[in-house]
Amino acid sequence: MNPTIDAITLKQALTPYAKELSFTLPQEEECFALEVSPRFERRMKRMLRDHQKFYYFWFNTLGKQVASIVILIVLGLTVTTFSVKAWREPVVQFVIEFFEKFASFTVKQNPQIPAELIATEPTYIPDGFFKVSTTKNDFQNIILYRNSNGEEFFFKQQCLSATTGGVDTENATFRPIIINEREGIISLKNGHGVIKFSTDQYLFTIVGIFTEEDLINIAESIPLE
Amino acid sequence: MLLFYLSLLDTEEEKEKFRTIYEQYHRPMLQYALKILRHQEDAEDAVQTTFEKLIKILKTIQEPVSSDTKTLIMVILRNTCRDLWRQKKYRFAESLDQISPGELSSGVNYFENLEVQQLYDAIGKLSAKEQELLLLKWYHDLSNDHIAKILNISYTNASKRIERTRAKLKTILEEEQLTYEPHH
Repeated sequence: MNPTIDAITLKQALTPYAKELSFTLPQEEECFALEVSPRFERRMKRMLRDHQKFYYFWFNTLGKQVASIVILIVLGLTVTTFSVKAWREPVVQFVIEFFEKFASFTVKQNPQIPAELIATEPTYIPDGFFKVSTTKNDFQNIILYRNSNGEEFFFKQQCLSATTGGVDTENATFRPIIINEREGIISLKNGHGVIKFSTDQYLFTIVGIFTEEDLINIAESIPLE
Repeated sequence: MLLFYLSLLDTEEEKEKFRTIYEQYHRPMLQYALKILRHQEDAEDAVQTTFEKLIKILKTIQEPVSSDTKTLIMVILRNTCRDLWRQKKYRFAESLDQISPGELSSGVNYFENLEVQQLYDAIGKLSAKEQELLLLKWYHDLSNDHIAKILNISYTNASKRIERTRAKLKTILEEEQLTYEPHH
């Protein structure tokens, strides 16, 4: 017969060992001659005191202590940086530039550029679209196109002497793009496509319900000289 | 993350539990550690480390002043002394294994039930370290994670040791024609 020994039986069998082990711990009466060093008492008192503190488990291991120190240093640096104007501005500027470089496309107004608009327009227009209107003044040139289904897109050319441009990249799929050796951005959001790119003088914008390929083809067809 | 740490915070009851254990047992623990290590400073270090380990498993202790708590303290203290012994290439020659609780009781018939008695005898054939591992796992019902913390080893290492001890006990029992299948 091979009886199966379960955990309860094992616990039963272990009980005498547990009892004997507990008996090997000396009784208090046996410790009358025991001398405890002040160093030990000090350390144990500190441990007891620390254990009573609510934040004990935040700092009870070396890893947690190191993490806490690192967090404190980072917090300290952040607070110091943002408290001192001379340090805050370069940091904020860096964050803005970083954001602009990787998350958006912005063109700043530059009043130094001569405000003389020489109008241009795309030479490639997708099939079915025709020019509906042109609005032109000294600073910008806007052309609206439409097809027989009523779908529209527009082309905008603006002087950098009078405008600042950006692209809303929130919840949009976007990426940097090069149009005829000029930096720009293409953004697709809710079915609408936007391309923006700039030369030294102008900011160009094309907005419409197009594929990325069509948008790029329109943008690349704009004569820049 | 904050919630996680907050969940680790002791209740007042647990803080009191720790203080009670300290007040009740720190002197006997020191006395025992001195007997083993024969060096005041090392003995004090061993007791302090034992309390640090106890804090980690405080939630598993039901009754601070009890035979079970004394057993648990002894297992942890003996392991800590063993670690110190190993680290410092200790000055005394005898191993802690010579103070095996099993040896103290060998040859005694504790149980009327033959099956339990045979299992008890089989456990007596294990080393003190292995017996203590069984005590932690199946007498105190500690998780492998808690055992790892007590023995100051990794979780994987603790699981392997438990598995090895199980296998060894099984082999001994098979020689006695018993089958051993405790729950994991």
